[in-house]
Amino acid sequence: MSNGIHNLAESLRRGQNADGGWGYFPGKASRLEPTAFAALALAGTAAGAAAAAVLHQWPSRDGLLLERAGGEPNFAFHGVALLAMRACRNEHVSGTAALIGALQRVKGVRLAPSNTGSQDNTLQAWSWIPQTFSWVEPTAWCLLSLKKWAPMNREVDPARLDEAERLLINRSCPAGGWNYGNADVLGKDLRPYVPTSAIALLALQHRRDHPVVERSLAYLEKHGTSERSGTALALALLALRVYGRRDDAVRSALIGQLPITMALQNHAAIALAAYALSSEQTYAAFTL
Amino acid sequence: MPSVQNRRMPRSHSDGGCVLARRDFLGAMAVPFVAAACGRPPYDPALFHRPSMSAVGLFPAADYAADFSEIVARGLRELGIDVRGRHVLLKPNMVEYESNTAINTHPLVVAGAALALRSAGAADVVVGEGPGHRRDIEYLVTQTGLYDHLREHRIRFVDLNHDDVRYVPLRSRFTGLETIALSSELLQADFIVTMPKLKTHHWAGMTASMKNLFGTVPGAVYGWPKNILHMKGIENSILDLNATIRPNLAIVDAVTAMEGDGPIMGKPRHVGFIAMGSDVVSVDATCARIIGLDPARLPYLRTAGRFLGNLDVRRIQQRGEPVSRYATTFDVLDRFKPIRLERP
Repeated sequence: MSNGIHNLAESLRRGQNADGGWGYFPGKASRLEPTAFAALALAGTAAGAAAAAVLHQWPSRDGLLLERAGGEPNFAFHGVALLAMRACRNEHVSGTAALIGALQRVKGVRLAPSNTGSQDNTLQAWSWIPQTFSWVEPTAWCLLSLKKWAPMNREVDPARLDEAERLLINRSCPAGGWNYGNADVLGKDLRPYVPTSAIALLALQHRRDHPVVERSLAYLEKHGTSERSGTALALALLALRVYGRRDDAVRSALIGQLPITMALQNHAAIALAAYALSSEQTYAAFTL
Repeated sequence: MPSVQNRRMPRSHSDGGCVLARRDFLGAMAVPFVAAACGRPPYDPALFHRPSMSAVGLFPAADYAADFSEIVARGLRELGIDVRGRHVLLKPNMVEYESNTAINTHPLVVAGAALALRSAGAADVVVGEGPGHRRDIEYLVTQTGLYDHLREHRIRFVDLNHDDVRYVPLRSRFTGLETIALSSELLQADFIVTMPKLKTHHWAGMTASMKNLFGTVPGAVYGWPKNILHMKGIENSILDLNATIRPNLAIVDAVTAMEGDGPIMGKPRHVGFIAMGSDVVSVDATCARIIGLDPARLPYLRTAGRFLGNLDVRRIQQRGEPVSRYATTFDVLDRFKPIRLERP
């Protein structure tokens, strides 16, 4: 397997742009999400150091990291980048406290009660982009990153963390796990997905005794191999590891999926797979 | 190679458009032309040429064992479509994977179309998709089996959610937005083929060639499920996307379609044809009539029929099989029952 991990890392190194960042795909412009995941995967290497340097100076506006140079903020990717910076012991040029403060000032919009679903639309956590509704994935990434920084930063507001946790609990599917957004729509339950469930579980590590977390962990243990992709399997592996659960089947499935992951060349997926499979990793970036 | 932007994109307008939000949908059904109520049309008629007649082909495909390369090749011939030297982007509809359902454009239809277009002289053919909520495209192409066909036929795949983007001016202003970010690869293509699965849709009534363009909007820029466009109104977004991207051809997978609570939780419904045409309004209007919906009462189709293409059956030239061969009545949610066609 060490060859496989080496191939993943080598593929990442080959895909690194001259500016030190990564696009989602080879030859594409550097973007925040793949650059942050690659920095995590390559930490301790020269390429990882270059990635950390890029994150240090990543373009921002009012403390919010832009999804790409000249683009707009994306709160989920801002959260991922904060996780990478924490793991790489990296500061942003504008000060990490500014990034944390800015992330807490933005909220998903509050919607009026709706008869299309059972969720509580008054809860506000994080949306993907400004002026839109809160969704599971951005909420989970932002919550995890703020929890990760909280011990070192007294500016992290417990009330924001609490509301984000309540939103995730509220959006969980009846059988455990998370869809990308609603748990039901127009009277029908929606099914959970592996990647969103894994990210939400990572964000709720402090709530292990909550019935929703227990149900969701059971879902992930049972269905962790059901979605064949580098991203889904890597996130499932990370979540199961962090919760101390058996992960052999997920790890094997991820190794089996690598040829397709490599062929499709998505740097974010390759970096996540490399990080999850590395025997050197203690998964500290995702562990609270 | 001329880019789509250079070839088709006009300068942007500075006037605001009218916003038709999802919640206004049913209300809009009773309004002949919502945009007119806002004072001025959200498009410049001079920018659009609606043909006097539009050809729509219906070609039989009993099941997915059919030779879709041959079916699409027949369609290209009978519709007189020339793709020689063109850089083609096929945009299938890939939403979610569930076994034994009819959510996605079948990979055999996508592969068959790619082979037919190559044989017809296209310079290159790529497949591109940017799913609306499952942003893990590797999962979708793996589980649906599309990946195997892409590999076998050496067809390149473009993740439209995560590709590089460029902002282009919108050619109509129903959403009120002035510009939209689109995939660079999409903009570089000079022949765009929308390849939907024919389905009923719990918000828009029906999803086919036009609604399929939601998947061209980059999620990395706009979030999932393309939040901004949903907030600006699904119907408005469908209109602006089609007015701006102007797909050159529609190839609709209606071999097994979906009825009821589409686009994900509906039931498979065998219909048995592939629809093709270069006027997406005519193609979708024909599909609507086949499944028993009145296209003139689907707000986005009705509005599109005023400037993007032909809705009126008298302006649609049928090729291949007659509509009557496939005409049926799809199960729809209660809210859409008032727009059903009356069948004899």
